[in-house]
Parts: sequence; structure tokens; C-alpha cells
Amino acid sequence: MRWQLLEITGRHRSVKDLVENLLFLAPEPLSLTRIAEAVPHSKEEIAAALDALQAEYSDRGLKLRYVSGGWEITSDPDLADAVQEFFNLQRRKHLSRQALETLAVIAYNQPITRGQIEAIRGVQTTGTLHTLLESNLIRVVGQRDSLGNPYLYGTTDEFLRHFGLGDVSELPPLEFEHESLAGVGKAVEPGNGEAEGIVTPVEFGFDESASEKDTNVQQKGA
Amino acid sequence: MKEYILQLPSFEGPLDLLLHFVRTRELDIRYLPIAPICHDYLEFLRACEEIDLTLSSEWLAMAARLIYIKSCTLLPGRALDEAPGTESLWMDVDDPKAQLIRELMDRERLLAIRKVMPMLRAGEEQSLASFTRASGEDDEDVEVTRELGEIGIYDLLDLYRRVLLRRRRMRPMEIEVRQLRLSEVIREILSRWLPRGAKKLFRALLPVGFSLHQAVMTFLAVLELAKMDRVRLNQADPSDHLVIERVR
Repeated sequence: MRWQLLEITGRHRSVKDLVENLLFLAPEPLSLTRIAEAVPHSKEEIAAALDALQAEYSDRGLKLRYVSGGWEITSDPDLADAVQEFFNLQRRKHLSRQALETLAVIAYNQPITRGQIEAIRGVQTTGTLHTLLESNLIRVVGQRDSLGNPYLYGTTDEFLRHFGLGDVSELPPLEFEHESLAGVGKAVEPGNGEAEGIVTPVEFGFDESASEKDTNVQQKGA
Repeated sequence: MKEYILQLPSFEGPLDLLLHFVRTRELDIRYLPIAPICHDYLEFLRACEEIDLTLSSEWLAMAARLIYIKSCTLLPGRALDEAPGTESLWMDVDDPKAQLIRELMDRERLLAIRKVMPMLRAGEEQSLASFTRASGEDDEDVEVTRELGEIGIYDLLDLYRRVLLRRRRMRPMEIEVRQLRLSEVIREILSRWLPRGAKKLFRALLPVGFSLHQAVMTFLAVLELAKMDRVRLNQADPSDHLVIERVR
């Protein structure tokens, strides 16, 4: 698609309108890269346009948010009840407390094995893991190079979208009572040392095109 | 009259109490000097006894654990040093003190995570209440209320007659169930689904839209291949996924 844009003064304005239109029609969040691919403007110009849009939308009825690495125009959550009623929309269900806790443990400690999750939570998590896997909020990201080669779990893009996060780094930081805990390694397997080599099972045919931000191993609260 | 609100720390279990001591005594949890911890804990138990408060067995079990760990440190020649700088704690997997430290750290992590959960909940609620243009699109429950218009009784009779005619022309079809042979399935698995060195889940050995018969035969084939030592079956845990690995 070739865009013939008029050369008018203040190029940013036309880029801004263009980006806004793209965001309006997009069926999912658009990343800066994605927009740059479709449009004959530099990333810097698009970024500037997005900044301008963000400022404008803070005052508008609609909301512009950065979620799972891309930008998205949404309805105002404060108006959710009215909007739902009018369009007969279904709100997705929120997670149970168990699921939320398990998911949080995974999110802050990814990649993490089931054994480690259970060591932290103190309860069985098989059922909850299945639920989370089915809802595509977590996925298997590899295997630990230790006894039994247990699966490692991490969060997905869907997870980010569900919580309205732009990135895993946007998770609220953990506060530890002890300074000593903040920098120390993640949950350790009962009877094991620190996290060792992680084996990514290429043979499994997992979706390797999944973006790196899914497996952001950055230590939260560290 | 002023209202005094008393806030007491609540302990879900002995680990929480231990963490409380670590906090109040400002100890480094990584190296956990066992003597002060043990002392405080036993004092606590004594105080509970004094006010006639019965604690569940897990509290007593922890007391026994602490005393055991302390006794280990008193014995000569053991590597359970109290001095900071002993990273070797992490290496000894059977080390009861290291095990305790790990449990404390895991507990601490969980408490920290629990503290942020309300924030995650709020983010979740916000996000679930945000709709996009795409939200209104695939409406699964579209109410179809179409007016039938002018249809008379003879129209209905005519329709019925046509249905009967159509039915007479239809003949029941015989679907042949092709019996699979075990040797065929084995050959198929070896040549197509499971190349040498591959590790797959059982599901990955089944073609799309597989029948029950196929699934059963494939399962038997896998068992047969395991018996022939051509595949190895791995499972991290009795309830975990079964991974089939081709070895020969």
C-alpha cells in the first residue's frame, strides 16, 4: 500500500493522524516496528507521533494504552458498564485467587519449574498450571538441565494483555523485608542449587517466532 | 474516647515466625546464625505454654528442626559454619540448614508476591473493562428473530412432501473402518513422526483429526517400541507430560 501524503508544513501532524487511523482500525496492539513497516516514516517520527497522541488521549473519552509491546486504542474502563450494556459485550472472567497467585509467582520468577512454584506456594499446582496453559497466559519455555528435565514456564503476550502491561518490566516491583533477598537468585528447587543450564527443546517444535519479551528473565524486585 | 487499634503480626506458620525473628534481629537470611533464631523460637514456645496456648504439631516439628540444626553446628568438624562467607551451604543438598534457608527465602518471596497481588488485580480489572473495536465483532449469540411472513398451510404441506421425497432418495452409507496393523503404525512412527534423536509428546505422534482407533494403535506402538529399546519414555513427574525419545 502506497501512501501519498501531502507535503504540508508540520509533518508530524500528518504522521500523527496516520498513526491514529492505523490504531483505530487495528484488531490488536500495534508495535512501533509494525507501524514503521507499513508507513513511509522513520521510527523517530512515529515515536514522536505516538508521544503526541498519548498526550492528547489523556484528555479524551477514549484511552490510548501501551500493552504487550504495542499501542492500542480502547474504551474508557470507567464506562465499561454502559458500553457493555449497549453492545451486549462479554467481559472476560478474571482469574481465581489460586490462579492469580500461581501466575504471579511465574511472572516474577520466570523461567521457573513446577517444583519451584510449589516450593514457593506450598501447595500443589498441577491443575492451576493446566488452566493457565489453556488460557494461554503461560507457556513452556524450555527445560531445566537437571534430574527429570522438568519443564520451565514463562508468561505470554496474552498475559501482558490480560493485565494491561506493556512489558514484564512493568510489573509492580517486589518489596522484600530483607535487603539480602533482593539480589539473591530465584526460587531454588528443593534439594538443588541455583538455576543451571536451561535446555530449549527445539525438537518439540514450540513456536520459536515468539518474541523475546515473552521470556524476559529480568529479576523483578531485584 | 480515643480508639486504640492493636495490630499484631499474624503468623500462618512457623516459617513466618522465623522470618519475624530474622527481621527483628536484623539477621542476614543467607547465613542465618542459628543460635539466636533457635533461642527466640523456643522462648516463643515457652510463652505459648505459659498462656496455655496449644500449637499444632508443625510448630513443634520446627522446634525439633532448629534444635537439630543447632546441634550440628556445635559438633566439631562439620561444615555448617556460622560465619558469613560460607557459600558452600548451597552446594550441600542434604544440608538441613541450607534447606531451612531455602524455605525461608521461598516464603519471603511468596509474601512479597502476595503484597503486590492487589495491584495486579486492579490492573486486571482495568484491562478487562477496556474494550477495543475488535471486541464487538464476533458476536456469537446473534439473536435471529426473523418474521416468517405469509406462509399458508399448503406451503407447509408442500415443504413436508419435498422433505419426504428427499429422504427416500437417501441411502445409509457404509463407512468402512480400516483396521490398522501394528507393524504399519510402528513403521509410520519411525519414518514420519519420530526421526532419530527426536523427543516428542505423545500427542505429536498422532495425525490431525485422529480417530480413537488410531490413538490406541499408536499407544500400543509406542509401548512396543519401548520394549524393543528403540524409544525411551521420560516423565518428569507422574502427573507430567510423557515425552517419547527415539534412541535407535
